[in-house]
Amino acid sequence: MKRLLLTVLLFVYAGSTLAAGQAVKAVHYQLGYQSGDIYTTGGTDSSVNAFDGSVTIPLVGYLGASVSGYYDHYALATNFESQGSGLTVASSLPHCTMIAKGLAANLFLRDPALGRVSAGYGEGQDMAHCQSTFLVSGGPKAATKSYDAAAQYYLRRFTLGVAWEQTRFNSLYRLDSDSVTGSWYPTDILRFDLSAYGQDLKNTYSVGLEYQPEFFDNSSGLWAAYTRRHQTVTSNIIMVGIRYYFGRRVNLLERDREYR
Amino acid sequence: MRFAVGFLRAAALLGMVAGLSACGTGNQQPVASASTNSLTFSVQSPDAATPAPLTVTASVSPGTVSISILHGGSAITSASYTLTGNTAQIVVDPASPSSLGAGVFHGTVTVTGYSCGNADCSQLVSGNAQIITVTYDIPPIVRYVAPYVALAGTSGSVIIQGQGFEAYPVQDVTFGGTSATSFSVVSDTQIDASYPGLSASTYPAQLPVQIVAPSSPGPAFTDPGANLVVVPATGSTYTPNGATTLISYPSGVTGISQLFYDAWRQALLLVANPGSGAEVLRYAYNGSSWVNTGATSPATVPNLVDIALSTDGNELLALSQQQLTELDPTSLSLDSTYTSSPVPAPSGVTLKNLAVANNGYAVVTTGNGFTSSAGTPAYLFAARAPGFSQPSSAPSLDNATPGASANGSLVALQQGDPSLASTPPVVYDYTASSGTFAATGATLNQSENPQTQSAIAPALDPSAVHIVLNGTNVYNNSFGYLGALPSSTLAVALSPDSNCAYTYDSSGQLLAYNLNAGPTNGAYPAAGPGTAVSPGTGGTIRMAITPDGGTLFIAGSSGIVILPAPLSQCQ
Repeated sequence: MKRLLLTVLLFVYAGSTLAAGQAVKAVHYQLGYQSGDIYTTGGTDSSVNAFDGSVTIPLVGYLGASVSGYYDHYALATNFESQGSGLTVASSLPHCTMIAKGLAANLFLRDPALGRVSAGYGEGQDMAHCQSTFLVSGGPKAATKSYDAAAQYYLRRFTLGVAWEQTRFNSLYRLDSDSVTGSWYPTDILRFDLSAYGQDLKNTYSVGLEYQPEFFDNSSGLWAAYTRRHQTVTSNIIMVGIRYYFGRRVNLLERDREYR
Repeated sequence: MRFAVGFLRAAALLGMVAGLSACGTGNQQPVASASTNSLTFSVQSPDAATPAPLTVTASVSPGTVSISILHGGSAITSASYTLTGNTAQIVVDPASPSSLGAGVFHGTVTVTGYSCGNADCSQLVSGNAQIITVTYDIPPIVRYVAPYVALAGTSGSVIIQGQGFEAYPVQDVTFGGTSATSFSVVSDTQIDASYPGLSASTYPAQLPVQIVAPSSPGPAFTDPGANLVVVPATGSTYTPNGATTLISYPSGVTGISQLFYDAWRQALLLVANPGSGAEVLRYAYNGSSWVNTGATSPATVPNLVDIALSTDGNELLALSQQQLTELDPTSLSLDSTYTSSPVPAPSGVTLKNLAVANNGYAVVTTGNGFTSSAGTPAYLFAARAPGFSQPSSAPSLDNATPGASANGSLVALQQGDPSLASTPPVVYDYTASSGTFAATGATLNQSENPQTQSAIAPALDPSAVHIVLNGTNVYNNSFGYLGALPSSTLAVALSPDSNCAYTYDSSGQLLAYNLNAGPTNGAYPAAGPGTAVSPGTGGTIRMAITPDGGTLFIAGSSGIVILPAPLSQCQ
């Protein structure tokens, strides 16, 4: 908690000392819906439907903040082939329904011409609606607390980012991840992303794109992503989504670097 | 070109970072493992108790945040578990054999671990699962054979009742090891089989009736009570040189309301002194004479109204106005008592009569003492898992009187009384193969004896080819009316071959009627001269006949007359 307070104070100080700039041009709202499938080796498909939303607000100068939330509904496959047994089981319950939901807050410093540095805190909850037990809680629910820090460097039409995040279930179990992301804007309304993860999410790679067509009057964005987790069992995750942006009608590049 | 260069730059940077990130500590995707991947339950038969649960240990790899243990398939009712760290103790509860029936049943228990799919664990992904297959073997069972009495050296046919006969191809049916001459699987619960002439070194011989089926899921189980009891034909044993014997009741017995011949034990069973002092009276043949082997006291079965042997002949079902008591058929000692719960009889209604079907149930009727034509419930009583029940098809009947065929396939239920309703009510039947009651096409007002408040019970031959209701109306197996016996009939019995109806009428004579000859002007003529018989007058008369059809028993108010059946008159 002390670290969090210190980080906030640091951001406020830095933001106010660079008061000539502007981290967020105007308050920015967005809502999104996404749907996808998770294909796991040897098993049937899992599916996900999710909603998210966020609001980004200017604070002082280069200092901005955002609050975001998510609600994800999973139908996770259960009837995998048993390793080595060659068994397939049609009669078992094929899916386990799980819900993940949470809220997060971020403070960031941004110079639209240079880049962005952020820190955040979030809380979430995972809930199982089948005979599933979270090892960390011994029950069908598990609460999470997440801390993250990230930096982005804007280089003409490229954005290079690194991030670190720690998610804690309890004092015994935590998930540490770092990632690096490279984004490229071939046009002002199209962005490609490439990401790689490390630590506990090692061997996880993702490629994605977001397209904000002008014929929607710059109010909506379509995006898609493919993620591959290559571990003991390989998972391929394909997600597609749509985002609606309230208010400002700006192109994608400008939105990413000056509004959200 | 500009796009391609951009991609290459980004990819190069990502490649560098990816290489570094792969050196992290790593979080394996969950992999589940279990102490076994198969469980097997097996029991003796569908009637067996539910087997004890089995326990499996399963564990998931580190990095798992959640574990699900799901079960499917009919073999399993639940799979509960307790967690210790990454290890689960799973207790697998099998379904009850009675709920499944016979067969090979399957189920699965699936152990799956889930891990976080992204940094804040808002995304979950499944890991590999361990599947534990469950197999549950429940062999078929032979529960009953009816009629359970066979005559030595005489071929015959029986109905075998059980469960699981269609779960496997039945290869043979045996009677004490002797194959059936033919058999037919009628349904999952019934086999019709014919047996050759059977002999034994001692009589009666209890031959287990078994079905031969493929080894999986195990040999068919034969209930200890499912025996064909082979007895010697009595022929003229009870009536040497055609002699007629009169068994006089002990002092204090003034009348009877029921007579039963127990061919297995060569004994006669009666309900004596109907009313509040009713008791079961038993006479056994000792090789030369009939010996009174005892009686129940009225206190043992208070308000006794009717008796019948259970489907397998191992219990004497003694029905009183409020309860059913199981007695030992030989000693008449008390085995157990059951009231008509959980289906309580309405106020003012008492249990009235019973007749036994071949599926283990006794059809129990109720009545209001012929005080009104209001319908009262019909029940089923299960002798092997004792208790009353009331199936949805059970009708409300007006003081009904049941009668069953010896093979237990059919129970006829006549009802009503001319003094209560002018319109004759419908005759019902209970079919053992379907376990249901149904209205027949026949209508009839039974004639109640106002003195004894009892009617002449339906009389059926062993295979229910002919049915005589009210002692006078003869029907075929489908309750199609065939003709009438004299209205003066007081008691009736049908020969085992179904050819002959023997009556005792108010003139005090035993008469024979050839049912195959057909009626004349709607009435069956007597097949020969009558035989004067004096079992006593003024009360209920009941008749019984031996399985070989050679001997008749006529019980009245003063005793039991034992005489040769006039078989020749119907040939």
